[in-house]
Amino acid sequence: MRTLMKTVDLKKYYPIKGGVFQRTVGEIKAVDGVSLEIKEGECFGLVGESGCGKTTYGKTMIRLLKPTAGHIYFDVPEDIMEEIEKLENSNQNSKDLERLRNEYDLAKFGNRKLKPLRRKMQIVYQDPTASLNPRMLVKDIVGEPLKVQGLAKGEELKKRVMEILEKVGLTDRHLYRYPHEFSGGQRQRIAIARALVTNPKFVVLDEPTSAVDVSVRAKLLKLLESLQKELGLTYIFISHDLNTVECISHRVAVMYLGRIVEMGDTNEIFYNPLHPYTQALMSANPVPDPNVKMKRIILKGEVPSPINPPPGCRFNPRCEKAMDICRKTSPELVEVKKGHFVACHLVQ
Amino acid sequence: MSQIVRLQDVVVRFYTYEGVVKALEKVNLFVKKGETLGLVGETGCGKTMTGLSIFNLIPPPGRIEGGRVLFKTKDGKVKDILSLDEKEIQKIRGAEISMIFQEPSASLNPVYTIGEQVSEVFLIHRKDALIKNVIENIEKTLKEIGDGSLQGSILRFEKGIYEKMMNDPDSFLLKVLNKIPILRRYRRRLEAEARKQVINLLRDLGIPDPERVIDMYPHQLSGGMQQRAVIAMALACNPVLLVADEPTTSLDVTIQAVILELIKDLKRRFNASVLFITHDLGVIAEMCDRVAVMYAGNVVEIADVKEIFKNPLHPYTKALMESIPRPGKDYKTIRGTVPNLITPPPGCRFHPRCLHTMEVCTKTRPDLVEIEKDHFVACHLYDGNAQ
Repeated sequence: MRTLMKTVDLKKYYPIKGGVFQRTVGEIKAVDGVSLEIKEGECFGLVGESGCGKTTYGKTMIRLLKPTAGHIYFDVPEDIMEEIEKLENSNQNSKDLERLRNEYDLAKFGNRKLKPLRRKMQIVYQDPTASLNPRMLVKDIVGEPLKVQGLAKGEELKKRVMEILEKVGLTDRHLYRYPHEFSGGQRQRIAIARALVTNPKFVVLDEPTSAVDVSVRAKLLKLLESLQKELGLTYIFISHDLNTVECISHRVAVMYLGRIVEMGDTNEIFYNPLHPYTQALMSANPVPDPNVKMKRIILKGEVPSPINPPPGCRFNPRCEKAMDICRKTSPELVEVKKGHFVACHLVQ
Repeated sequence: MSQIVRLQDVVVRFYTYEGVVKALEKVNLFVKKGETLGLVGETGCGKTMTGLSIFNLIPPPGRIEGGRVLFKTKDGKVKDILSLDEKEIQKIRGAEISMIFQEPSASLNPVYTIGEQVSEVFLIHRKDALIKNVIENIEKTLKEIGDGSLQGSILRFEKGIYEKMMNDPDSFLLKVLNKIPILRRYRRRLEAEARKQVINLLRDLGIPDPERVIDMYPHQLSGGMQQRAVIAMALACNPVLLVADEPTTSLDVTIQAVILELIKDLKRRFNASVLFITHDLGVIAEMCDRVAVMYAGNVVEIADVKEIFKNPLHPYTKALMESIPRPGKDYKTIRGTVPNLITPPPGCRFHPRCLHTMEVCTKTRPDLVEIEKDHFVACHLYDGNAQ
């Protein structure tokens, strides 16, 4: 399968301003060097606790935020991607690489160059009540991306809005209504319709099911799965709900404090976790079966502040198996099995 | 095992502009001593209202229209909470039943320190014990310094005030003292005593460095720490019943694991009963002894936790169990949506979404009947009304 989205060493720091002249006195390292490849047509799960940088990463990769450093390649033809990789590995700052990056690296793009790409990358936010404008009608909310992109107008626009609303399970009765007239599940459907109306290839799902109930969640997940098959979409599914991620994703990455600690096939991550943090996370996940009594790994302390993360491995202050080397050097993400990457000194 | 609290036919209505919301319709429940009863259901099905009705704290425009909440107090008397007057309820709330709310940052007051908020519980419900400790301390210092000195006479005066406070809390002298700022300083011994108790309590709950945390404001603490402070307030008076309303919903899984272990441990230590309200079936499976399932203001099924996961009888419970994403199994959806409680469907409120609807379901409301031992179901499929 072709790589649709690739980020290389992506970083996003937020400055902390302070003092009389509002100088930058520190940095919040929200995303600190994340390299990922997302294949076309897959659903990639991204899990982690709140504040670990999941959402920031999702927003940065589709360039809603400007990255501090790193490269984003989206929908680059395969031969050019290979060339870029070759040049990157050769460690030379050649002119060719510079030229290719200017042409294909989203991190370097300005707004004008990004606009046509925006229709191919969309996002669905966590809370539909907050992400839908309460003063706009559903037809305007869903039609707005088409208007902004100049893809359709008039009758054509209305037809496309209707088409997509039908796909997400709403009818023409709903066109002239305001968001507050809908239930939580229906609002999320409107948000999904708005994301899909421009026929995107890649959709960031930022906790789309965490604001809704169990029975509504099941319906939304079914809808997302069927839409993916029907329209050939690629998802990155950001969530802290491990059970949901397990059901919907093909591959999963676990994030901790701005870095990926483990990545692999869903079954590998859930049944053979190698990183101590992933193990603790999996053991803390309540299983809906009273007969399963799990041995819990209780983590000590709290997630450290991303302003000055601990030296070495970022998990070392809470890790039971921390060694001397963990406090000094940061482990690299290495492939231990085919397709299973871990960043831990224990495994290496 | 005896019952701690029993709800009988509790009816709650909300009088809104759109109409009368029939939030709870004849809810029957009981919690046994020392057990954890899980209350599970979707948003808006009346879980929180059931919890609040135990306190008689339904917020306006809601009203409890009928039923009884029988509660067995620590001294063994059975009282109907709904018919008590405000003063008597005040003695029970916080002291014998207490509540943990969903959002810790919303249930803590942002302008008071953690210590001030937790010690409030002690100052209201445990005042006598605190005063007794204060008097004992004063007597001890008196013995050390001996009679005659100026300090001794001041201490004796303070002791007199505290004794008055214990025997006659409404006296005129105390009212005057509390009005005058300089003289109000006599309370500092009481507050210091409460502070000591709070530090002990926080340490019991596994909060690191309680001497520092006690002077912090809620926004300086993380979500998990805040929830621990709320739990500290709830447990300050060793309640016999703890109502936990989605205590871990806003927390991360790893923090959730810590809080759940904490509640389990405290329940064991204080021998309290817990009413655990949640929509997460995983948490239910882990925490509870028995489970009550609610749908649109009705309790539809009550059973042992193993029984309800293995052998759910009510069609809604079955559908709910099948709708959770579980590894290896396909999840199903429930058709239709949750009904509007202003105009709930007649008869069984689940019948428009049910796969086994019969004629009787659309007309009469099924009662909660015991099908097997300790397994109650409200469904016409099982109560012999089916044709």
